[in-house]
Amino acid sequence: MLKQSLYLYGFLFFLVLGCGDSASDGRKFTKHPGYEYMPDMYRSPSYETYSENPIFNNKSTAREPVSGTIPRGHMPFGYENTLEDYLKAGDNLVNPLIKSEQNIADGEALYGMFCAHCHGSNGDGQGSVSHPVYGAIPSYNDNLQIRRTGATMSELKDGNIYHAITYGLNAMGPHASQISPEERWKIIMFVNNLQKVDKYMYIFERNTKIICLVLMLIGSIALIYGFISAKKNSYSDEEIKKIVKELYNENKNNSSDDGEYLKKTSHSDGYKSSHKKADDDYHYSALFSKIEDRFKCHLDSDQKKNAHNLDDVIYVTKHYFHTIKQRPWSSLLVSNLFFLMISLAALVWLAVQYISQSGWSASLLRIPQAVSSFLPYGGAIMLFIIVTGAMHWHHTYHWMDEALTSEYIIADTVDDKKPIYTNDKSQDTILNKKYDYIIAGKTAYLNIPFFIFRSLIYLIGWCLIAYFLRKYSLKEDIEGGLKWHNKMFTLSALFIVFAAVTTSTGAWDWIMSIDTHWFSTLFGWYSFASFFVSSCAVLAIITIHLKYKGYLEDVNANHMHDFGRYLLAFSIFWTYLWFAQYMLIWYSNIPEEVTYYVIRFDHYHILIIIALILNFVSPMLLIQDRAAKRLKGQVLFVAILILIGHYIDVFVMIMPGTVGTHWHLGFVEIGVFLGYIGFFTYVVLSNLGKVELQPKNHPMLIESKHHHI
Amino acid sequence: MSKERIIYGIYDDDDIILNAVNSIREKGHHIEEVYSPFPIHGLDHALGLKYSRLAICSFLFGLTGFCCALLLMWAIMIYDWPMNIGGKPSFTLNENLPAFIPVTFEMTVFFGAHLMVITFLIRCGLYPGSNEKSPDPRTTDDKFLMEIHTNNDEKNIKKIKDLMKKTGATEIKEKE
Amino acid sequence: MKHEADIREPLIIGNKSLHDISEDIAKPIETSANKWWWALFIASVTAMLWGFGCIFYTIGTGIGVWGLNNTIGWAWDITNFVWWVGIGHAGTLISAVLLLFRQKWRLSINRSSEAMTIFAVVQAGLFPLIHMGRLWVGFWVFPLPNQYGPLWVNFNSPLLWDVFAISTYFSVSLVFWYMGLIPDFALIRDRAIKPISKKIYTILSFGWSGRAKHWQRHEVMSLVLAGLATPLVLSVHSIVSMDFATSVIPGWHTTIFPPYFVAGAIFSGFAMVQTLLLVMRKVVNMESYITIQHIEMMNIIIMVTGSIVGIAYITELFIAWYSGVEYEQYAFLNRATGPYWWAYWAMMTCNVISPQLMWFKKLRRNIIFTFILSIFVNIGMWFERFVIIVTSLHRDFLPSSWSMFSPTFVDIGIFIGTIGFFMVLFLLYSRTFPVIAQAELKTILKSSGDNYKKK
Repeated sequence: MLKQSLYLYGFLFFLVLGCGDSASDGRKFTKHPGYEYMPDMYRSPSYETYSENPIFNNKSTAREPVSGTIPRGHMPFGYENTLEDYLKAGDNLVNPLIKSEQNIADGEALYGMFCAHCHGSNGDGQGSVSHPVYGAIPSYNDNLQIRRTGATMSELKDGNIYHAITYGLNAMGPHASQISPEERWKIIMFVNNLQKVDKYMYIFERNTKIICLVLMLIGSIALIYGFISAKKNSYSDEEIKKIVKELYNENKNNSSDDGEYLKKTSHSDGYKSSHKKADDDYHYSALFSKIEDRFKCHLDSDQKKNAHNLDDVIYVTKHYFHTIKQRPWSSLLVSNLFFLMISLAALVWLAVQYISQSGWSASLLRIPQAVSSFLPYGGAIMLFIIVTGAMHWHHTYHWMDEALTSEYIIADTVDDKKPIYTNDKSQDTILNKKYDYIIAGKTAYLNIPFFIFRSLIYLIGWCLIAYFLRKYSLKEDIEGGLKWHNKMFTLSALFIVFAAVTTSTGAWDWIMSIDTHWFSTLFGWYSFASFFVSSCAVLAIITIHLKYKGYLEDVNANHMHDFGRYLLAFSIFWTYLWFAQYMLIWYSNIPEEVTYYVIRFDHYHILIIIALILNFVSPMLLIQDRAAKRLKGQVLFVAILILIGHYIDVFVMIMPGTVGTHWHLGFVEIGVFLGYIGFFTYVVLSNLGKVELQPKNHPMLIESKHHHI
Repeated sequence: MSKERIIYGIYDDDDIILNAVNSIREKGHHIEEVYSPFPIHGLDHALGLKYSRLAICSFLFGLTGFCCALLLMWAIMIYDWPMNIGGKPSFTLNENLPAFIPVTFEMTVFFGAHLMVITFLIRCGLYPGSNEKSPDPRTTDDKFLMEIHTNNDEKNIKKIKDLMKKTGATEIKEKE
Repeated sequence: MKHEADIREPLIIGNKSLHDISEDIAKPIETSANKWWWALFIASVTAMLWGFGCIFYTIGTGIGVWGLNNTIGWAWDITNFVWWVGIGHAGTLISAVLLLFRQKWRLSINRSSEAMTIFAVVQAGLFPLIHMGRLWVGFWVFPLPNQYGPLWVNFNSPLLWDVFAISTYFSVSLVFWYMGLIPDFALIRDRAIKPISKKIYTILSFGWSGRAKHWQRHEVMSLVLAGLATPLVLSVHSIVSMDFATSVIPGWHTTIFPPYFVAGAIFSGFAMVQTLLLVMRKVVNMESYITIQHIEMMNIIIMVTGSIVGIAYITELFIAWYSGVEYEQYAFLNRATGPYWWAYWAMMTCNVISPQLMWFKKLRRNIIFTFILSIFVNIGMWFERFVIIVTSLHRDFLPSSWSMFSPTFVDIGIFIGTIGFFMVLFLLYSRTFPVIAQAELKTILKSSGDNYKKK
């Protein structure tokens, strides 16, 4: 015991001694600091965190954490900024946050702060900073394949997006410093919602819209330019009469002989001297060349040859200026009629699919429905053209002129600006020189009230049927069952009957009556064949556009094959009808009919040849082959050629009767055509975006989906 | 003994034989021929047959007919013996062309159709009096027959027979 | 092809298997005919022989034995010719055009209608031959150098176009038909027990064995032939129509003729198909393959083409008035109200009005009604050609030569003879040829057979 306690106390003693010494710092009591017993590294050399340190290999005092150390509240991101890791991130990363409304709402707010200015508030890549051409920010719900992943934007995985936010992508900079990981995941959660597209919903993109609007602008400029330039070049009938009379008198005074005069002028004009021989053949050649110099115009040589007195000369000159005035109206009519009838033909196409019980097209029926939505627009403009014609703003339908259909004229009013015509003979009347008994014979059919009435019947009928076919189809989507399908079948059958009559009579009214004297029983069918094949081309183009944009999953090469077949078959059909009409008229060589082709082959032959090449030769060579019909690009190319070719065909149907031999295919015509392309595309595509692209309950969808040739 | 042996597998259904062809070819066996009562959609793909160029032949034949027709009519109506009939212009081919189109078209079709059919018959070795038949007469009725040539290797033959059995053959025979 | 919408009605009924199809189609060939067949056959042969007698009389004596006169130089001969050619359009149409619209119901009827096409074109071909008068110089229609006697043929003439069109159409249809028959003959060959029929069908089947490569080529060939036949069928009747559109009355024509003749041809062709198949399906027990559904489909086509023809008639009338040309107007006024008004109105009633009854589903699916209507259409279409030819010709620009036409017993005899000849060929065909394209039909059994569809 003693021994143990001795040790204890000895220890305590030393302990106290030591403590006492350390507690009383020597400096307070002594001049010498004294000796420090065990200084306990109080005066160690101080290495600051960021100072140099000779001891460690890297000469740095601050130590790195042990490898694998994770700070609190931090998740590491073990991926590099490489494509490989981008893909890996997509495969491996999952969103750690729980999907909750709060998180999504946070994500939406964050998206609005950090992303929306470029990506657009709805993720379509159309934010305020983005540029329509250079930006090329893809839309989240795009079905387009992107190069990086091989998937589409809507299939982009969370990991890919996280990687992109962290490191940036293409033009997008890294956002790791601004957005915390948790916030990133919240944003992704919100973007997921934006990605979720209905693949069946078409989105009419801003870029396309802008192109359409630009085209419409070009079209309006062209039309306005057309009207202005026609106005600028025009002289009133009185002016023409006066000037021509003046020139006539002047001509008489200057030389007693027309031929003398001609010689005089022809020396000064190289162009005329080369044509001198031909010009010598008719009377008034000198007067005409003077008129042409004075008005800066080229009169129709056939008409010049047929001028036998001063009145004829005045008439020929007036006629020229009338056709000049006609130009913008005619170009409007050509384009409007073309697109109006295309939309009608699309409706016929739709109806034919129903009555022939076609299965392959079941998933495509929204497209003809959308195309037929142009009917009211085109119809309204058609009515505008007709009504303005009836008001004599233009002379597209020149049978509307009373002067042609009235046998007599009230004598007192002959020299008035607006003479009064009548069909009743009385003492006050004299014979109307302009009276055209053939046109007068047609007034029972071709008169303004009946004409407008018929046009209204056609247009209202077509619009109503388009409306109902669409409505039933949408009802079918909701309700299902066969009820609506059967209704559509019946309506289609009735429509085909209505269309069979109205397409013919419509073509007689709106096109054939321009060449009022001329008639052809085939004309209605022939012109409709032209519109129908154009419509097939339009449907093919829209389908391919949708396909390029990634819509229409169920549509494949087999459907392309069918479009190719339609295009080829109806191109041949059109050519057949064109030839049948042409050949029979050529063969019979009857004056009242053959004039139609004489003017066309004398003055429009280049267009006829181009139209035949585009409409017949091109499909024959380019989509004859099975493999070619199955290529989207090839079908698209041919469809565009056919569309141009049939525009030319319609042009040749209308122009010779309105602007005659003075035709142009210049800024006005092409501009208006382009404008109509924009207008038509805008109407059709915005209609397409309104409802789901694929009908849901069509009973033959399964056949369309598994369509295989 | 390197004599070739021929094995026939008879199937009941077109879909079954189509699948059988696919799976047997996957295993690396060459299928010599398939006999069927009607064309089976997709069988040519499954057997690895090249596409047929008959359509191209027909196009070329048609082109020949087109040229022949125009040449014939030019020679008769323009070159050798121009006749003024019904006032139709008969000086150049171009002027008289509308009247020549119908015959040109008919000749195009005539050449295209008949020469193609003859080509088809020659290429397939079909002619009246040919005695060729399928190995089993029922293949024109409702049976589908697969023919595999193999060397005289019992193991291999057994493997093929087993495969046929597995893929749904109802009968397996060997040519004596 | 395996996926077919449920709303489509089955096209093969009666719970058939592949083997049943073979049995049913080989049966008429392997069994002997019943007495109804023999009765019909004897009647047809009698008519045919009478017709042949009249033909020999015509050739031996000259065309003077017909009722033709100076004004009406064409009458029953050309009427009959066009009538038969028109009838001969349905077969190719069914095989080729319906292929484009992918109508599967064509498969049960294409063989018989193609056969009908060929037999009808045979009848049609007789008329140009005999109305040449001197048959022994018939080779003049071919382009032969002047040294042979005639001048070169005149390629400006639609009649010569017709020679090319009809011979191309006939030969191409024949080949198309025969190529489809080869696999079916092979079936008959493989089933044949009697050595003689074995021998015959061996020759007929060209040694077909059904190899995969052969089928592949066969399919491509059929498709191309269909593609060629579609415009061909349009061209043939267009060219026939040009015979009239360019040359019946000089100075009169209407441009709608080509397509409207084609529509009319399809119309009459389908009517004749109905007439024949309604009988045949009963006689050779093909009710499982030619169902009410098929009949209804054909009736719809008859209704549609009948309406097209009707619209064309009305268009012609309207445009004649609209033209303001006196002669044009008179031509049509005379048709409707002239001495041949009864022909015109017979045509209108049979072709335009009666098919409109087909709007009623009940009537479309009624066999007896269909049969009666198909006969009506046949009559109407004959009158259509009669109206175009005789009515146009009987009053031309020179009133002093206006005249009427009355047929002689020879005219009538030849016409009835061709009907007999046609029936003889068809009856023989129905007992010796596979009347349904069984190979093609078997391809749709799984998608359109009633036993498969129910599942």
